[in-house]
Formats: sequence, C-alpha cells, structure tokens
Amino acid sequence: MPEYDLCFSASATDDAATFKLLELPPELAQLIDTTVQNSSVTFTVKGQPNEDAVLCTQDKTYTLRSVALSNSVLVVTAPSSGSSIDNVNGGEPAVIRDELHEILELLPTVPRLHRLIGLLRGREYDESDETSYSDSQKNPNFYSYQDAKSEIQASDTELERGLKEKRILIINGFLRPISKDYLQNLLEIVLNLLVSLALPHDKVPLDDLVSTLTEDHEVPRTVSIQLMAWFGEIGESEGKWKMDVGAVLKEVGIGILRQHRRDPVAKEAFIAKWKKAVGDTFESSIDLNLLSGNYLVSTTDGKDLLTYFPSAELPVDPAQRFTDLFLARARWKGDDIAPFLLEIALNSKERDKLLLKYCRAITDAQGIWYTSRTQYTG
Amino acid sequence: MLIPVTFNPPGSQPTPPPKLPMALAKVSHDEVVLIELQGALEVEVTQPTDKNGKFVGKLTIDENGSGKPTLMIGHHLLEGNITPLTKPLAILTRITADAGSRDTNISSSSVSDAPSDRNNRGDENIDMNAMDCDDDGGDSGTQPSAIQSQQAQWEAVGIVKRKIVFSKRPMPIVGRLS
Repeated sequence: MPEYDLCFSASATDDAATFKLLELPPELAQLIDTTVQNSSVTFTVKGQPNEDAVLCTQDKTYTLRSVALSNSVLVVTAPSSGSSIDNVNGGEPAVIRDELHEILELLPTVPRLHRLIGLLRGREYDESDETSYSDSQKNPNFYSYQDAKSEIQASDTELERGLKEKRILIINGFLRPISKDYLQNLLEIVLNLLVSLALPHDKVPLDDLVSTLTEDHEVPRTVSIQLMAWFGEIGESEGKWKMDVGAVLKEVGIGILRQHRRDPVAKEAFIAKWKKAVGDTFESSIDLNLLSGNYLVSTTDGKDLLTYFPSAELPVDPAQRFTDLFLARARWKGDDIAPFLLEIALNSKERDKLLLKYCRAITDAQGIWYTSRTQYTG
Repeated sequence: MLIPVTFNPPGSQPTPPPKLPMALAKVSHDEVVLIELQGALEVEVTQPTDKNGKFVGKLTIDENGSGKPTLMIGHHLLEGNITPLTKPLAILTRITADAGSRDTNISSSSVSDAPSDRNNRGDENIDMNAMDCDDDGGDSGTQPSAIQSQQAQWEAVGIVKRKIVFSKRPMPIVGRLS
C-alpha cells in the first residue's frame, strides 16, 4: 500500500480562500465533458453587490447558493516543484491547499429581466425620436446594450430574447423600449401597406416595405428592421420578410385591449374592433387565446366581459404575484392562472410547485379551483 | 459586475501543474483530490504562516485508488472511504487577470517560494492579490489590491466525481503501525 505524507502547502496561508467548490448540474457537467480538449468554456457570474449572484452560461441562468458543510473538505494537490516541505517521513508528499466549509450550488432560474423595465422607464422611443434621431447618441441618460449585458442577470441568449419580447429597440447601441402607442401605430401601417401594395404576408419584399416606411412614414430603417425581426423572420439571403401573423395580431389586440383596464369591454364588441383593426386578410386568424395572460374574463348577464390585465405588470416575487392575482380574483382555474405564472416559473413543474406553495386547491363539480391560502399573511 | 469562470482554460501554463502521485490521481482527477474530514484540522501556531509546509499526517491508500484509505495523524488513526459524489464538483481557483502571464495559484506558489520572495513576505501583511503580482518581478506587488480584486477570475482546476471521506472517529494508536 502506497503511503503519502499529507502536509500543509508551503503557501497555505496565501492559498486560503482561493478555492471554491462548485456543484455542477448534469447538463453543465455534460457541456464541459463534451467540449473538446484545449477549447475552454467560460461561464460568468453576474450581479451587483446588492443582488444575489447568478451564473450565466451562453443560454441559461442559474442562481448561486452557498451551502454550508459541517464537515471540512481539504483540497489536496501535489506540491509545486521546488517548494520546501518538511519531508521527514520519507513518503511521497501531497499538500493541503485549502480547507473549505461550503460548496456552491447551482439552481436553474428564470432570467432576471425585470430590472430592465425599471432602468428603461422614461426612455421610450416614439415619433418624436424620428426627427431628432441623431440626438440619442449624445444623451448620456440612455442605457446601453453593453451595460445591460454586464448588469442584467441573464445569459446573452436570454437577454436577446427578452429584448425582443419586451419590444426594446437598440438604437446606436442604446436600449429604447418602443412606446406602445407608436408600436400600435406602426403595426397598423404595416398591415395597411401589405394590403395596399398587395404583398403576400409570408413573403414580403423587405426593401419595398422598409423604403415605403421610411419615405411615407418617416420610420428610420433600423427601427423597421428590428420591428420586422420581432414580428416574423427576416430571410437575409432573399431579402424577404415572413410575417408572424399570430404575433402581429396579438400586439394589435393588446393595443385595443389596453384601453379597457378599468371599464370592461364585451367580448363580441372587442373581437369586432380587433377584426376591423387587422383587416379582412387576417380576420380569420383572430383567436382570443393569442391574448392569454393579458386579460380577465368576467360574466355578467350571460355576457363575457374582458378587462385588460397584463401579466407583465405583475410583481416578480411569487408571494406578491399571488397576492395580486387573488386580489384580482378570489379563485382561479388552473388553466386560467397558468399564463400569469409563465414569467416566474421555469417549467410546468416549477409552476405546480408554486401553486402548491401559495394556493389551496379546491375540487368541485367544475374541476379544480385555486384559492388563496387563508393562513398566508405576507 | 462580471466574474468569469473558465473551464479547460486555453493556453498551457509555463509549467504544467504538478500531477498527484499515482494512487491519489486514480481517486478522481490527476491534479487534485478532495479529502473530507469530520470536524476540522486544528493547528496551534503562534503565527498563521508557521504551519506552511508542515507535516500533517500519513495517508495510506490502495494502489488503484480504491479500498479503505487511512489517515494517521499523530497517534490517531482515521479510517475512510472513497465515495462517489452525487453531482460532480468543479474545483475553482482564483486567478488574477494579468494580461499575458496567466498563473493559477498552483504555479504562483512555486514562484513565491523562492527564498528572496519569502523574506519579503514574512513582514508584509499578506495579501493574496498582491502576491500574485510578484511574479512580474520587481515591486509591482504593491499594486492596489482593490483593482485586482475587481478583475477576479476563477478557473477550474478540475472536476472531481469521487472524494475520500473520513467520517469515523479517530482511533488512538499506541506505538507505530507496522
């Protein structure tokens, strides 16, 4: 049996606290394993000093949690060449580099994009920017994409997707959320143009549309290009734009619905208005499901009434979100509440966990209802 | 604030990190092994630096890196196990972001062990970050550590899937083991 002399490293006091143990979830371990030798993988820990740190890969975000160990773990390596070790016992030496009492755990989490909304408040992009286009470069108050990449706790892929979903323009490297009315306006112009120029919506010649928007409506090229990327796919090679009909209809629908935050609108009246806004071509594609997570239905005198209730404006903290949801409505069907939890739950399993934690499930003839937990006091 | 954590760092270090002796290397990784102890190592020293390089105990392990490892510390014998980890652990080490000379702590320790360096170190209030700058030679070690720590980077020394655990109480032993 080989024997080794276990010693403190010659630089033990300097080595202290320079080691950490990071527990790797299976998918990360696999990612590192499959990476070819000699090519490196870099993850990034992101966060402000007052935030909980997260670890971001190229496309995922994990929360970092420190777990204390009651045992101590010694990190043992071979001694570095030339170091002076008391080699009195004759065995081959191995040195203790550090003694650790915690490991870092990684838990997958949703990207923390909500900070963007706060940071970008009051920096919306609208018609007034069309004329004073170059000014935005000088304005120091704008928040740059580069800053967002380093400050927002999300992976690059998730941030990019978040910008797309939250309709945030990148103008000269600065982030500018598009004003809602302006976006509404633009989409209606685009829909009208498709009809008036008789363009097929799944194969719109990119240049025609962009130049018409620039010439007739003074929409800068960069804005229209980003707009098209949000609402469809741009085929770079053939210069065509394939419109995502659902996404456009949804945005137009939300635009109409937004006026009904306080006074509910009858479902039929709303649908009619929506159909009118999108025109004959797309009338048939209208479906109320497109707007899920943005409205509440209430029934009075046998008529369905819709109220604008965007999940994007609900608090991100689960407890607060559920409080808000149960303020809006005392009890929810599972299918009804699900769209409002999309943003805070990573997958359906997480969602069910939240439902278990914050709701009480009641079963009656109509199925399962979720109500607030009465003992909840937060 | 961004802190990069790199796995399989590119570019070989000037001196490749020393490899562990055969049997220990077979536990999980050829450069690093984790030993878990119940409780902690307590060392009585007047100066924290006094324990540097001192002998702790004798570790005995099967040639294949399996079987029952034992650790003899003074007159106490610990018997252990080799346990697989439920999830692999990456062992990260902090490095300073000196352009050009990327040195893990492993290689830096070899440099700072040079006798001349050692003398300096005895009197200084020892600062990890300042230490690593010493490699550049001269007095660059006085760079403010605040700047350095902002560029903190972590690199994975290795990923281990098994560890040695000594979870039993130590047995007092009289005389020497044969």
